[in-house]
Amino acid sequence: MKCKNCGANYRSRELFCPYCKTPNPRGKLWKQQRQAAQQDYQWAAGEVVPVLRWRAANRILNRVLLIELGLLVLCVIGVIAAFALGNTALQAGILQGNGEITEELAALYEEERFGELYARLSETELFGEDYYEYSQMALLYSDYESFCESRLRFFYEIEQQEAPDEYTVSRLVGDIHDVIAADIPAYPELTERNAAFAAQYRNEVLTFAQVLLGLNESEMETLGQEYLTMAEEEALTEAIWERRAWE
Amino acid sequence: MNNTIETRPPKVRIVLKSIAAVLLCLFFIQLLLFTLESVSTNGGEVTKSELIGWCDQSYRERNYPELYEMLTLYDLYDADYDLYWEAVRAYTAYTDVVEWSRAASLGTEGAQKRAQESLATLQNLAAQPAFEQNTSLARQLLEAAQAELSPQENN
Repeated sequence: MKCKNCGANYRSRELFCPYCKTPNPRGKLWKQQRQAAQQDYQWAAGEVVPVLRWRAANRILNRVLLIELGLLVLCVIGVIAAFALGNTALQAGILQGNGEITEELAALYEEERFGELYARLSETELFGEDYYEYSQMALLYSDYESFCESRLRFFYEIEQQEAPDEYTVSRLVGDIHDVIAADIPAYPELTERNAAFAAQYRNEVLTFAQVLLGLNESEMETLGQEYLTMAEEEALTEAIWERRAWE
Repeated sequence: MNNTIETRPPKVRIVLKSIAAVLLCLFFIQLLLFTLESVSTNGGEVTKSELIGWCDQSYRERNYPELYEMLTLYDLYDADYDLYWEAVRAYTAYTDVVEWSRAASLGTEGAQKRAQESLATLQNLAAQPAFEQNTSLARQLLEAAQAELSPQENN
């Protein structure tokens, strides 16, 4: 800049003209501004920068949380959609093939393939009032199937170890009672055809109880009760065990 | 300038957000692991080869109750399991002969007929098994069943 007094050129940051020493107001202003800037910088370095670091961390966290929440919402929507689609597909499949399924269930019932009937009803979730007779029969057969398994185990254990396990005998007592009681709470009224099957199963288990477990009449009566307590079941198992032990 | 900048760091908020972020992160890791496990184990479903393996083991060990349990528990009714069902049927027929012949000896009505019917089933299975592997089993069971019936017939 040019000195107003002597006309010499010098830098505008100088406080005085280096030639005639005339004070330079622009240089003074510059110095004041510089000091103020230095103070601000020191204050910022001491007070604001650490806060800014926290704020930066806060911003990063906000973004991370936003992404995570977005993912969470997507997951929830995905799960709901999968359930809804699965259910709709199953329902659509059932409705579409309703006639076929009914025929298939009828055929399984007529052919007395009750294990498969049970499996098909479970698979298609068709257990219920619409298929009352089939559902009832599937559950009746399930009890009988359990007895058949215990019965096979009974013979197998006698062959293998000359005596059945006490647990097998106890299980047989429970299974025999279940078959005799033919109690299916969800479908309480036995249909005519199912009653005939239930009677057939009852005869079979009674013969087994009499012939192979050696139950007497009063014990058979106990087994024929609607409900069998744990104590009664244990007493029957003990009686069988004492009587047979094992032949 | 001092008035325009908040100089208190939002520490509590940051700590809470960090905890939330870490928990969500752990949740996603767990979800990912669960999904990977579910995919690798076929969603917890037992595979057909596993089922056949189990049935085969019981069949080889001649543990027919266990085989029957497996077949009914997992609803194994398709043609791949016919071999095992035939073996179970043969063993069941044998046990029927034993049971009904004993019932007959106790004078139970119709028991002799039932024993003969079960014996006939076993004879059919021994004569014409659908699976050759079951031939020797059916024959052994038939012999045992005939031995069980003979004393009753002699009586």
